Amino acid sequence: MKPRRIWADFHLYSRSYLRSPEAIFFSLIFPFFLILMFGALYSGGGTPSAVPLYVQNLDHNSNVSESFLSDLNRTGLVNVAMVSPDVSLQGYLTSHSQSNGLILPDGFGANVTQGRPSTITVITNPYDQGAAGLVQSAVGYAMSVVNQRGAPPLVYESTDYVGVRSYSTIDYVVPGLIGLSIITSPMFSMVTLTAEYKKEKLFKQLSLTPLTKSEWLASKIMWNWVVVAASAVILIATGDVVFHAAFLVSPYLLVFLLIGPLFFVSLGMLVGTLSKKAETAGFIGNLITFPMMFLSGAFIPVSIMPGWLQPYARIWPLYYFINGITDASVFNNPGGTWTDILITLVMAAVTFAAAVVLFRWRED
Amino acid sequence: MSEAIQVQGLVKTYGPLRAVDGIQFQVNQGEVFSFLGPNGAGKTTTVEILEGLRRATEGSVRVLGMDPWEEGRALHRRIGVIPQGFKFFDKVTPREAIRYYAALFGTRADPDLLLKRVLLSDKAQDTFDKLSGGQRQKLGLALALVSDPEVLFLDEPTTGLDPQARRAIWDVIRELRTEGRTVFLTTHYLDEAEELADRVAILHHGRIITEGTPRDLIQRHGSPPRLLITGPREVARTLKAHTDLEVQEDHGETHVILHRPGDLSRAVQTLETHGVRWEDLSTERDSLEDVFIRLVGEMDEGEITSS
Repeated sequence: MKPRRIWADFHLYSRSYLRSPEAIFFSLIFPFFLILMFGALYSGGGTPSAVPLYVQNLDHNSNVSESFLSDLNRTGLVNVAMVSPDVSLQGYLTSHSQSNGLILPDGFGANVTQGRPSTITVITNPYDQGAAGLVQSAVGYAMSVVNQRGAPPLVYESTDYVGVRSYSTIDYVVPGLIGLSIITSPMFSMVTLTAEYKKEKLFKQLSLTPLTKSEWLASKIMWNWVVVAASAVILIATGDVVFHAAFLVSPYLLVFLLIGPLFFVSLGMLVGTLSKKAETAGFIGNLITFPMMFLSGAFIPVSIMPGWLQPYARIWPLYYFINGITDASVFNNPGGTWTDILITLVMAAVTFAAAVVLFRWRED
Repeated sequence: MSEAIQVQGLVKTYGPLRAVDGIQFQVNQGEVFSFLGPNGAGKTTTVEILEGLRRATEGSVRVLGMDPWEEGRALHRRIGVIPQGFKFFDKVTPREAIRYYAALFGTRADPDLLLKRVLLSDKAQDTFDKLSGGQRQKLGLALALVSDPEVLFLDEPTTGLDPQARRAIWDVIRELRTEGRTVFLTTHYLDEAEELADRVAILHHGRIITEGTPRDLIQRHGSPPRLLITGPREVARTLKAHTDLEVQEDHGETHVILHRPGDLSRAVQTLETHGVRWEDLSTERDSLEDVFIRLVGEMDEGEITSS
């Protein structure tokens, strides 16, 4: 690979791209409208149907605490998930990018049975009033069941707040829309470009020059880095200025902004190159892109999707980009980010290699 | 004279179709060689094999001593190509396109000089999608020249162009020949081949049906030259009565077939001797187009008859 040729192709392609009003609209103006639209939709706080509640039960082998937890579940407002008594629940919630927790203290069952008051700790995110409200309602119901046993209330609630940062639904929207930019610009432009170049025999034309297909692909990835970075800046700035979305610009975000175009440019080129006709390429591209956009958390955070749908989010590559960016820039949770970096990097490397191998300048 | 292109026993099949069916020819260095043939004759397939864009099914192909398919990258630095219906990136100007090619080839081609050479200087800043068909072909020619190539492959470079644009491209091709470059010209304009080519080959159904200089082909396959005399019917009667010349009458014109070198002067002398006046006198000979139509027509008729 010769940097001179990559730069020449990058330079020509960038000029050509910037002269196309459609390309500018979809890569830079459309994300701005999206963040305005989704920001307005979610900035009041979303209302999920059932939120995850992480419970640390320090009251071992107690029928009362088991009954309390089953009452919580029965409300349908929370999904109880158990956390080991050996860890700090605050730390656990932060490292798992979660915000709702409950601690049942040691001796909770014995105290209730013997008519002594006991205090449980509820952890919520004060800025996510929708989820916090659901947790408070569920806990309130379970407490009322126990408190019916004695004249003075037997269970008191102590409220704590998760982490040092605040989260609301708008915070989840910014990573989702950055993920959307990562997929739309590289994927749509490459599917269209590859199919058009094939149809117009421009690849044949380029094959008669010293430019190699890896150099051509590299220049397209480089340009999409610029486009995706620009659109991320627009989204983060608009999210911050207009909706006060909490978003940390970390080096991990940069990693995803680099891997994203590498993966989706290669995938777009693969779709374009494997399709015989331009129309088929567009159809296949949409078939992959649209479900991925809707199911990976680009528009709707996965955490507030129906429970049965959430596992299906994980089958889409885009999920790992959005999840990774959310971990890095919303929850400041580098531990969770590394898994996503590894998964996306492997996917990108495999797709890039496949695109280079399967893509043909010439015909047999 | 050394050979720039050598082709032997070239076959290209697509399933049961033999698009190119065992052709052989050679092109000398510094020569303009034209490949003629009706649509679907196998011209573009052959050219693309020579350019290294397609792999031959059988046979041997050498361009500048290299195998175009196996040594394409090295070969492409020494050849220039205008593909059929040349296309480029819509939003790129001719000047940018030349700079781009110069950067890819690592040459110092001057965009302004090249654009001036192909008469496109006034459109240097217009994007490709704003250029007319002729201007696009001129840009194709300019790009083919960026690498200062030894051999140029021009696949129907003037198809669909207005007469002025065609003449401009012809002038550049003549200059290329003067500079000693080899030009492989594919066209279905017979006048273009006759005007520009040193040698031509006529391809039909994947086979070369004849090859030679345009003059050779006309002499070998064309009708003898004719003397056309416009005048009274007495012209034809006198020539028939007093000579053994082959005389035909056609819509008030007398045609004398000039089989032998002295036939023309004998006809004129006979008319002078007998005091027969004529209005106009001219000679006519078959063009390459007449030869082409005859040969291709005969081949098609033969196939119809034999089938």
